[in-house]
Formats: sequence, structure tokens, C-alpha cells
Amino acid sequence: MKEKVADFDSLLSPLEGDVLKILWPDKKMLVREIHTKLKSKVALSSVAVILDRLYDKQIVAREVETARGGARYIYYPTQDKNAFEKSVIDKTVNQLIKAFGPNAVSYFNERFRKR
Amino acid sequence: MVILESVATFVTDPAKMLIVVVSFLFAISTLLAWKKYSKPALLYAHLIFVLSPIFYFALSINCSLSVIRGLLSWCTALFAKFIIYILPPLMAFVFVSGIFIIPKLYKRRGKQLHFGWFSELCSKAGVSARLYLLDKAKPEAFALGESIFVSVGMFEILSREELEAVLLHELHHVKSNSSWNKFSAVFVRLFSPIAWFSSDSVEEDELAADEFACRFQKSNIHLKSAKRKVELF
Repeated sequence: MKEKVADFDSLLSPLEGDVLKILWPDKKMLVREIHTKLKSKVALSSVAVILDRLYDKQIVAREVETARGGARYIYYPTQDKNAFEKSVIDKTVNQLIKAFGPNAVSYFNERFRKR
Repeated sequence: MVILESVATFVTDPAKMLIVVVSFLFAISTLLAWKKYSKPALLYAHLIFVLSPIFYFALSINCSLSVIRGLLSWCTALFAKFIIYILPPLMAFVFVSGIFIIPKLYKRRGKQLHFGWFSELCSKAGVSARLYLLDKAKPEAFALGESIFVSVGMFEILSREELEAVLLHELHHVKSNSSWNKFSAVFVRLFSPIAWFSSDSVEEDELAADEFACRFQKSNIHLKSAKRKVELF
């Protein structure tokens, strides 16, 4: 049970959520630009780590730009906010059913019946 | 028990054991000399001295598999066959991969950059090198031969001065050919049991490279700051 509950932590951390809110909708931004816009005071390298994690999760994509004697990533979301929320809900529901089986299914049935 | 007889004959032969002991003594002294002088040739001499008695022993075993009796004989024959038939091509493969194939793979993965400021830096440092970009968010920089590989992540989190400090460090590795030293140390450690227990002389290469960067920039602030940022990642 403990292992199954821990799966939910893998969805999004608060900082990942903040970064995505800045990138939506369909913005293409540099790490430094996102860092400037973030309200919480985190190091630039932390923002770079967050974006790399989001890239590994395929929530954002990136391109390499070499210009002005340097190189950087331009990040952009792979889905719009609605599509992303739907995929999160879908994943969450699947995880609940996997963790709690029939109890989860009957809970959803009751809940939707009341609506 | 033909194999065990071969082993017994070998270890009880004073002339053969003298060769083994002298070889191992030379192996230890070449390793100690390498730690003092950091010359890769000494490492390879060490490897020859370590492996020679082992090959000599393997060749002296009459290890036709049809005469194997017992587990100890079987193991001894297998060891001898490994030493004679598998080890040399394995060493050759590792060596060729490290010297030729791996650098080529990195160059293919990377994108060569032609930045004016880098050419100027090389010119001022008196070193000729090529700069390659690796598509990785994790900040990394290393030298392979005359090429320096830097990840996108390095460009993103460091300022120009910090990046220059890192590149000067790597340029020193190019200048002193220390990637060859590092590769040799790893290669010899793979095949010499004695070298497993020795510590690296490559740390001295790292210190020298740091010193070079700091002397060039007349400060250690940028290099220290760069290292701190990279550690945070």
C-alpha cells in the first residue's frame, strides 16, 4: 500500500506546476526567462533541473539554440493545459483503481450516481 | 591430473618462480614511478610486467580439455584458455574503443561550435582545440584528445566568465594530453589487479588544470563559482 501511495508523488511537484503555468499556453521560453518569471526564489540551476525532469516526463519538449556565442534550450509544453489536466486525471484514476481495485470503482460509481 | 601436474611443475621450478617474482617487482616499481612522474608509458610497462608471468603460466599448462579431471583442473584449464585466447582480443577491443571509437561517437553526437570568443581564448592560452556541444541539460564538460565537449546545461547555468574558467581548465587537459593519461589509468586498472589498489595520479592533472585557469583569469572566483553551480544541479 505504501509503495502504491508513493506513486502519486511522481505526478508534479509544486515547482513543476509553477513552471508549467508560466509556459502555458504554447509559450516558447528560455530557462533564464522562466527563472525570472517564477515567484518563488529558486536558483537558476534548480529551474534547469525542473525543466529537465519535465522533459524526461515528456510534459515539455525542447530545442537547442546556438546564438550570440552561446547555447541554450528553448522549452515549450507538449500539450495545452486542458489536454494535460485530462491526462493527469486519467493517470490518477488508473492509479487509484490499480491501488484500491473494486473499492475505487464502487466509489466512482456512487459519486457519479449522486451527481 | 595433467593440468595440476603442470601447475605443480611451474610453482616448484625456481627459475620460473624467479621470473614471476622479478616481473611483479618491476610491475610494482613501474606503478610507483607512474604515480610520481605521470607518464602513461610507465603504466603500459606496468601492465606488461603484470601480465607476462600470467601468460607464461597459462602457456605452460598442458590444458587439453580432453584430459580434464576434477573441478580444480577444469577451472585451471579455463583460466589458461581465457588468458591465451580471450584476454588479448578483449584488451585490444577496449583499447581501440577508448582511443578511436568512443571519441568518434561523441563527435557524432555533438555539434561542433565555431565561436569567435572561444578561438580567441584558445589563441591566448596557446592551445589549439575544437569545441563540441552535447545536447544534455546536465552541466558537463570534458576533454577528449584535442576536442572539448560541453553540454547545453553548462552554457545555461554559467556566466561567460565562469564558462571561460571551465574551458580554460579543459584547455589545460588538451595541452597536457591528460585525457590520454586518464584513459591509460582506467585501461590498466581494468587488466592489472595490482593497479586496483593504487590511487590516481590524475588528481594532480585536475589540480594543474585548475591552477592554469585561475592563473589565466588572475582569480579563482569564477572557477569556484562554476563548480558550486554545477554541484547544485
